[in-house]
Amino acid sequence: MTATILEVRKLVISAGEAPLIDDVSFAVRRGELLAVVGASGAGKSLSGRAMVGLVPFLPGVVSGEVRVLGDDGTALVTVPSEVGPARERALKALRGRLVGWIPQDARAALSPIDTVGRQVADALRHAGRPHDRDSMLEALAQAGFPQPAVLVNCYPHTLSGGMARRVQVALGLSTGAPFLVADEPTTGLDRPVQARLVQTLRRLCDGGLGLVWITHELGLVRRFADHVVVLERGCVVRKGPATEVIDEDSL
Amino acid sequence: MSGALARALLARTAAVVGGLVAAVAALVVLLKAAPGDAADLVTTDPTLRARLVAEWDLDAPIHEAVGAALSGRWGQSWTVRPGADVADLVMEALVQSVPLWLGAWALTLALGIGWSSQAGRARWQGWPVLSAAPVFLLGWAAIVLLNETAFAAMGAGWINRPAWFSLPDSTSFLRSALAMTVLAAGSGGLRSFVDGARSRLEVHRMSPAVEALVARGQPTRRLLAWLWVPDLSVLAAERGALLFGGLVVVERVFAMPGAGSLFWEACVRRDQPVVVASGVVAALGVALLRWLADMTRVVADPRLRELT
Amino acid sequence: MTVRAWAWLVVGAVVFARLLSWLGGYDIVADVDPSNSGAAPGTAAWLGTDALGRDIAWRMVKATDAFVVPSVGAALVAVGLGGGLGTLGGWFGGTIERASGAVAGLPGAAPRFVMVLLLATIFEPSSVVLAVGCGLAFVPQAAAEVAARLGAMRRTAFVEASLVHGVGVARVLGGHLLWTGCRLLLLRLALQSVAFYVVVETTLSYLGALGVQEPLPSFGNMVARGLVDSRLHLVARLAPPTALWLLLSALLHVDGVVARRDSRRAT
Repeated sequence: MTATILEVRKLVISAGEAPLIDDVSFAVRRGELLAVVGASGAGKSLSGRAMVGLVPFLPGVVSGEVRVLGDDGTALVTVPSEVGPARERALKALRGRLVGWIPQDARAALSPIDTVGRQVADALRHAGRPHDRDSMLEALAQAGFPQPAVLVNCYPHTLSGGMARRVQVALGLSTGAPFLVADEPTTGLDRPVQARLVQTLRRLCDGGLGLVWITHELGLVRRFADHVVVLERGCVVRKGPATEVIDEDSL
Repeated sequence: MSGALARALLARTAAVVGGLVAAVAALVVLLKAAPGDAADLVTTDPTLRARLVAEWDLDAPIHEAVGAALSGRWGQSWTVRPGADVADLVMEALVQSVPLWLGAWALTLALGIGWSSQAGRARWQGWPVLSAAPVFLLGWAAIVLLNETAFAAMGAGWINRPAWFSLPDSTSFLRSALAMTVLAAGSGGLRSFVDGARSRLEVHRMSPAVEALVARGQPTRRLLAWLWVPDLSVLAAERGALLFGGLVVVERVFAMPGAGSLFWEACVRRDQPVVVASGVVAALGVALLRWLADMTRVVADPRLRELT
Repeated sequence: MTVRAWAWLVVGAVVFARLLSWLGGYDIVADVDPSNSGAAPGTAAWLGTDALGRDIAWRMVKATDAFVVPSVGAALVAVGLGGGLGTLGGWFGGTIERASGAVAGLPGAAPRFVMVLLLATIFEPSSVVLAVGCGLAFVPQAAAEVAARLGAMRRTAFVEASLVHGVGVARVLGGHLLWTGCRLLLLRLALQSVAFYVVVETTLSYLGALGVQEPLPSFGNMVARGLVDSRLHLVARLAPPTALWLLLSALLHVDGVVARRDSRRAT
């Protein structure tokens, strides 16, 4: 059975009394680019982090599930909200195998002690895929590097912001996961660089990847995304095709 | 070895050597600046005083005195072992102290790293109470406890008089082991190492790089270890330096010969050449530890090579 | 009673004892009474007497003379000199920071206790020299931590905005940065240097020769007497080391409380 849909169902996240995320649900199919947009503090990143089990505080995820469904609609993996062995097992099955992650702070999220080539090779090896030099270069090329061989012996602190983000894309792709969650991958980049990065992500979606793209770049969303989920104060206020949800007035 | 790494190692080495030279120079300047003269401690007779000043080279210019101190030309002992070559005295004493120091250092590191790497372990609230005791007090408690227990056991007929009884009269493995443990644990040394190591490990566990590995389902142990190594090296160097001071106390408390006892005797008897030699050796030890920590940090963290 | 309450109680008891000693009422010579040596605790001597018949409780009160005021001196040296050099380095940065760091780092070239002994030997083992030595021992740490924190705060937008709007450097530095950002850090350094002075003074008097000598009481020489004289009552033997242990534990605990508050403020 092939993983076809990544779904968040009735997610509620709380850090105390008031919920930070309240009854958020959305889903993304393979081959689709779903954008999650909203103002700062709307809960976009928190929702994305919850999809890979990275909500660090308590009580954290109070209720709701993250599921990966097969092509016949059955759940391949269900991550419950209750902390315990079942949740840990489900996250282990999900992380890196079904869902990859592109963090917001791309450079800080790279291992400072390993070269780019080593990190890509490690990700490939962990995914049980060939991790020789050619496979490593191919993963970097897929992420949009025209000359990946130049990067192989570079350390993360020598990379520009845009390069670090592309390396994160390569690492996410190296896992072989059918879905990726990208948390504001264009933040801090120049406009042309932003557009090139999103074009790369679009191309990957056209190749069968399912992408949850957390962003507030509405112009790029309208141009490249298939569907949009709009969050406001932790709640979903609108959902639908990108060209309908984001019109000229919104821009 | 890459060019950046080699340059970084050289730069750090130069900084450490420079610090050592400055410290020894400061010691010599302090000695010159102190009121009175070392010869005044021995005699007030002007003729004899002049002879001592010439013999002990007390009027040497500062740069010559610093050069002599750094190169090991420490002269002869005045009062601890009159006439003996200070360099020989110090080497002899170091041979006896280094195993004790090494053992205490290794014990601190082994216990400290083991304890602080236990994830989720509840912080034992008893730490501050037990670890606050100064080295001499821990030593006192150990001696009293051991002797009283042995005395009670002998009185009850359970044991015969052991060879090590009534410390610190005899030399034994038990005395060395006790001294090593007291040195490692005293004055909050072990506690501060564990606290420092654990807090750094927790910071690294929450770092974006480790989090990204968790999100990709990859193991984090290797990255955590390499991120932790520079912190541990700094803590280990600090702890090692503090142990030099503890050595003075432990060797006195347990009546063990060594560099600590020698230094103490020299301080009490105002044996200036031995005091200077001990100060230089201690500063050299601290410099060496810091150099090792610096080298470890530069090798473990590629970012630091660019900063030097 | 919580640990925190115990810690404040112990510190308060020490300060009270010092005041009591200062007010007088205990004569170290007149207290000698060999006929009463090794007495058990009672109404005349609450913690018993030592081998010379001297009241252990009163000697412990008098022993606070040896460290209460000088330890404050050590704290002033650590905070004043270390904090001062750190402030210079953190505010100006660049060459000044490197220079002040190099100067502040000098006392750190030797292990702390060794450095204090060196100073005591070169000059004299008086409480003033020990206080200066113990304070100097914390100057490298004080300077480095203050410089790092001040340097980070100096580059924040609100400080630059304040300076641009004409707020005086003294006010920004003193009021905003040092007082708001560094006072808990400086308090910790003061506490640590106080504790270090207590450890050094009691250690030297335990070892003899360079510390407080008999007939003047110090916790160190009282512990040393308790080791060799087994005729003393158990309470008389254990009271001085226990009191010393409690005092250092209390200082350590208070240091921990201040550290947690400081890290919460920093985040």
